[in-house]
Amino acid sequence: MAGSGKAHLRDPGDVLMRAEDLVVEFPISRGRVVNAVSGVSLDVKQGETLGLVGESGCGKSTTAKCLIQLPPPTSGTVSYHGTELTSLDDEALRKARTDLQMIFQDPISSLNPRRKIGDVVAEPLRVWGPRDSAEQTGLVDAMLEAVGIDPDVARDKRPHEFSGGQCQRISIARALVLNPQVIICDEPVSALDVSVQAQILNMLEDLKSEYGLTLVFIAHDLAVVKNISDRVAVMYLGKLCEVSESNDLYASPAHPYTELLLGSSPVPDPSSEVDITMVEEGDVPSPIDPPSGCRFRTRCAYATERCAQEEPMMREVSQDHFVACHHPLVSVAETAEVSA
Amino acid sequence: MNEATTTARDEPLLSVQDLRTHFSINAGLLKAVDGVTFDLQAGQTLGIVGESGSGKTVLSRSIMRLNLGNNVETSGKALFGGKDLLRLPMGQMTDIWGQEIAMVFQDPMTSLNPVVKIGRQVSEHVRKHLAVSKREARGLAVELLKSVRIPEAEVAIDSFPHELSGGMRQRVSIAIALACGPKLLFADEPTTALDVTVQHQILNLLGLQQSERDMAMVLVTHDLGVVAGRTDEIIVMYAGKIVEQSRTRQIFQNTSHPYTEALLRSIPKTDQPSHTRLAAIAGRPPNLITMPSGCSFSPRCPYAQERCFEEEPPLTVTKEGHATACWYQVGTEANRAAWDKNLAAGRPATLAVAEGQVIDEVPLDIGAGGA
Repeated sequence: MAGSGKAHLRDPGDVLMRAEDLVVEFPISRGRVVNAVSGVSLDVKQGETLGLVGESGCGKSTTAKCLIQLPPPTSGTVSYHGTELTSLDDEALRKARTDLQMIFQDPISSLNPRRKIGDVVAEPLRVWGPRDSAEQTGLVDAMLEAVGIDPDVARDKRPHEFSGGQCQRISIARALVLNPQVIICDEPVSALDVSVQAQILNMLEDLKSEYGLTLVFIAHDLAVVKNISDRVAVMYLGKLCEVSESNDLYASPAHPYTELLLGSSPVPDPSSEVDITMVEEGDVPSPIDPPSGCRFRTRCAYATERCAQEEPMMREVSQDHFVACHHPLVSVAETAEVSA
Repeated sequence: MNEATTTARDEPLLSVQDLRTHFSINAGLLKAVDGVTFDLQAGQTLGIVGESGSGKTVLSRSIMRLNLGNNVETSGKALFGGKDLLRLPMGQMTDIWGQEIAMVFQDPMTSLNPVVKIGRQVSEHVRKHLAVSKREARGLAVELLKSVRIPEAEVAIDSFPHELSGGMRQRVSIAIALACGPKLLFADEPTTALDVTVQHQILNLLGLQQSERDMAMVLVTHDLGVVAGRTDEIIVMYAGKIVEQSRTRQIFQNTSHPYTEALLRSIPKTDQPSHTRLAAIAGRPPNLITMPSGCSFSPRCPYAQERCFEEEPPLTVTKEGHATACWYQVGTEANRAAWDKNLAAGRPATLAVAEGQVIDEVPLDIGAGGA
């Protein structure tokens, strides 16, 4: 894949956030650039969870951070509730960001080790919340309780006194305290044990329905993404491969890269025989000099001449299931290719 | 410990007996590994599974004698080829490292020396142990890098670790570990820092090398998915002790310890529909300094009864060789009675599982439409 196109975008009136043609380039030495994100378009509906999956370096975190302008994309647009975020001035963007919060991967390093938990969670309120400190404390306590942390015990403690899972819950409380609309979760469970991961995933589901949140959830574990997402976008080397309703994506992956990812994820079932003779050589190509045409072609078993010359565009393969590939694994009506 | 299979068994390659590793720290005595016994036959793969802090890494490092520091006390035995590794002078241990037993570490970013070219790092062992010339060692290093499927090995040999990706670096660490043809390889979370596709490749590579060289392997991981199709036997550790040990298939199909059951249940699976409620394990792993009395899993266990809080269950072995340390093993009548009793009493750890279970039992086609 590794294709462009916007066939998978929905009616702008229906969506909460819509990003079009996002491009992020990081300049490096000798005038070269790292093509971190190259023409990605995405949208998220109110109350939906969008999962972003892909290998390290595929641009999934960069794409998600672009949505909240951290940093703003090199080119492309992000509209939120009809407001164009990329054209806002600093002050207006600062205000808009109270609606858009983020949870990071490493729960321990994302909390300031020298501050008390009560202060960490109250920080957003000191900037944007009510002036009254009693009211602030009330909000902080309510938020800590919502994530299952006893505020009376935790308030005066520091992050090192908590486990990884508890720190992640505190980060979630901090993200939620301003009552945001959208939360970007950047691999929030990757650093946690499976039992703690289950607690955090269940909690995110509960908080989402309680506070009417919209989530953008990044992970490299396909099972985790399926569990939490309504819609999943698969990325490879700065491009989108496949976007689909999540159950359908796993039941019938249309992109060879999605198939590779699914085939690689470990299954806790001893009867699933592993073919150990399959050891691929090589590596993901460099985003400094990505392959022409379809970026996945160098690792793709189905690649042909056409894949090197022509970049595949997003097209619909079934209802709410889109793929950017010249040789998708499910049959497609050729006419669907022009729908945009 | 027992005759688990019908295959003819002679002397085990590695026999660990009642291994205990305790750290004295300011807060008290931390029992990281507390009485672990197992045997490993030549050419077999053993998986050690557990959460962070269960003692799985300390266990493998204790056998390797890598717990350096003067506040560590290790007791028990680790017999390897008739020698007790734990009593061996350090001078003799260095002859065993690399030649007899090797190790692959979790983080390929930090386990390689950043200022030494990988060719020299790979051939270092060969030069030390096998007394070959510099040129021969270089040839061997290229061969090794080829065997771990590093493309253009002749060029890669002159690169520094930072020039390679994480997956390639882990391949280099594997090449280093395999350099002198060890009989036993410890792989301590070898793929935890890597992507799923790379993880798949590295695990395949380890399996392939293992069968080619007839080497035994201990695969330490927190991911039951990683060990499922790749090990002969699995040990599940909790709070420094073995709670369940059996042939891989038995662990998954006849799970008998509540902790193993809970771990298996808490993993999200791709064949479940989206938004399936996961069965989380209530509570947190115990503090290894102030351990609960009785069974260390009892505070979190949905089946725990009075006896579990008072008496520590011994590791009992069935005639099939399935070892479990639990008074109320999963699948027994007593276990079902304990569940019903706890549910009726409203024990929170039981309710936490019960709520998950109700949702697990919803037919699988909810939300699976649209395919």
